[in-house]
Amino acid sequence: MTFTRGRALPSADRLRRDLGHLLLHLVLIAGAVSALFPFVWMVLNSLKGYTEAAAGLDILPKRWLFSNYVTAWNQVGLFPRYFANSIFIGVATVLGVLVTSTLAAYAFARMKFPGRDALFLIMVATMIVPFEVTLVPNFILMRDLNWIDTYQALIIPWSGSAFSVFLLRQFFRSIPQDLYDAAVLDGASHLRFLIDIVVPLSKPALITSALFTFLGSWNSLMWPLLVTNSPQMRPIQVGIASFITDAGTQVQLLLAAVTISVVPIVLVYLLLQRWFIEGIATVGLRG
Amino acid sequence: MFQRRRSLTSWLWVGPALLILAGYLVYPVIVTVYESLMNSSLSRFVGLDNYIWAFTTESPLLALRNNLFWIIVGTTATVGFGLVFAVLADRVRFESAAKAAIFMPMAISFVGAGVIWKFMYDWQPPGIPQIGLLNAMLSTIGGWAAANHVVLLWIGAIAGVVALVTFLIALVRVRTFLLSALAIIIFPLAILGVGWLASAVQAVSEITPSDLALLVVVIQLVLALAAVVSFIYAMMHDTWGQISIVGAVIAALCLGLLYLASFQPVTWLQNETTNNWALVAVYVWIWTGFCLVVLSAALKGVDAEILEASRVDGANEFQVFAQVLVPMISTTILVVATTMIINILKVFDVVYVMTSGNFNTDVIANALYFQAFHFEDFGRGAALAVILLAAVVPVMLFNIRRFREEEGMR
Repeated sequence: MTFTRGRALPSADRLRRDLGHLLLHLVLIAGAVSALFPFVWMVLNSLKGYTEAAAGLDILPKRWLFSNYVTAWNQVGLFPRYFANSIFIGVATVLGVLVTSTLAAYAFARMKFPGRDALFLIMVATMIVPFEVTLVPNFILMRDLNWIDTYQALIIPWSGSAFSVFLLRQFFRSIPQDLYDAAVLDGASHLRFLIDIVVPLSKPALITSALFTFLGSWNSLMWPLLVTNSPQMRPIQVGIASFITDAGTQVQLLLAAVTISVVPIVLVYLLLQRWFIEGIATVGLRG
Repeated sequence: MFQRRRSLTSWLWVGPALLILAGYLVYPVIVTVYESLMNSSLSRFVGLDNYIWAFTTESPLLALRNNLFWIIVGTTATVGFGLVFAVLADRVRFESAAKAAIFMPMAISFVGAGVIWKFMYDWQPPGIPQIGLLNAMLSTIGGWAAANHVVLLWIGAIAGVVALVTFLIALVRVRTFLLSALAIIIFPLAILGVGWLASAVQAVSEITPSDLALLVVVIQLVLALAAVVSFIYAMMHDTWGQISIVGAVIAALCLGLLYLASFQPVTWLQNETTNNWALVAVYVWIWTGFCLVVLSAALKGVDAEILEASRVDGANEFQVFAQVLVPMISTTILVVATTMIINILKVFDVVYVMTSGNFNTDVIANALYFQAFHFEDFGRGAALAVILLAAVVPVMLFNIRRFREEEGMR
């Protein structure tokens, strides 16, 4: 790519170019391998027997014990329950975020009302406030509301997202005004226009915002650690974290449990990779 | 009348989102500030006591220091690796595969990553087989090096001599070698010197040998890195220089292997010289992919003709990278870096899962969590939260300014 011109290169230059290419590929492959290796190691060790995994010397299992996954599913705390909890909490949070953010983003993008711009600016400002800053009052609020150990404590505080409002508002604004004027001529209300025109056109932004919300919910630890007490209410990360201390020696089961917990995310990621990466690029560019 | 009804509708639309954000974000932030001035059970006003505690007591100060370490090392590493991989991936055919692979760790939770890396860093007493991958690998290599140390010494010596001779030839031929000349003479000497100095220090001081050995490794790694950079610089100029580099690399490899021959397993997560590095490494593993993807998107926006023009003007690849490419995407680099600083500032999960902040690895978010919910001192927890908030404010202002500029441009 560098040397696109067709002129013949002196041999020293060619050697240098080939060495450069070799180095380039080596560095990239080294990066990719070190990124993937811990995953491969995790999966391989999750398939070993107990003594073998605890000794951890060979790379490949002597016998491939796929039954470890069944055992992990049945024996790592209340694993099916953790898993179902996380799915439920994740989906509910995503729905909440999509509904509240779409409405707010639309209003910020298309409607005129007093204080709109100031409000939006505050929203942009709060986008980067670490949630840890709000931890103590929020916890006390949950306690006072008697929400400890309930699903609403795990869902409702996360159902509004400044980031999603921001992302969607920027996207909605790029939809031409003409479309709206035409819809109004046809007698459409804001809601009609939003549902029939804006939402279908904004699929990438909506999917990005849904994915980020789900990822954040699925991988969260600190908040659920605080507001859940009983094992029945634990989402998956808290379940796994407590299994570490409960049975640190059952290496292969722990790794099988982690593998199961990563599967939904990897699946979602592979299926929707295009939007995911596009969305991440947007987050980064917007800050 | 009509006007008012319309604005009422708007408020209904933004209402739910604003209510949740106000209730769970804005209001708690204000309350936190107030609570940080109260005692542990929030029943009595204590003024600035909690802040005085935070800035004069060893344990919160340690958390602050560690956070600073995290920000410097973590941000540099994630953005640096992300940039390098983005630039490299841009030039190969399997670009999207490479990017997907490096991005993959983003999918895993910190809990999952913590579980995996705990085993990677595992330690067993010397003599017993090492389970931890890092120790197992280094021990195996060390054992092999010990068994073959004569061969290694010879190869290293020959390669070193070849490197030196070819280098001297190159030096005569090319004047710009002066810089790398210094590097190539000074660095091996420095590496040897550090080792010698270390043994001298160890003889007279009470530093434990393992701590010292690790310090030596770190310094030598830095020196080796500097040497490599100057080698690469030299490579651009002369064939003899290239031979010299290959020789030097082989010599350095032999030296490294010989060093590992006396390797003793390291307790990566307990040893206070290594554990913060070990924790940051996990974070870097996860977040490099994020930086890569964002920076790669920015690189796609750079006009290829500008790069080609500077190449035609005689710039080498490194100059194109440093003097053309990086300045052109500097805004994105800045944004990615600030995003990473914010993310790293609130790091919690990695530390909580892997060390719980023990062995001098505490960070602010973890200290906050333990103060508020284990020691039940809400006042101190809130004060740490406010410190965290204060650290974010400059970035917040920066974001607002940038946003207003962007809006203004429309």
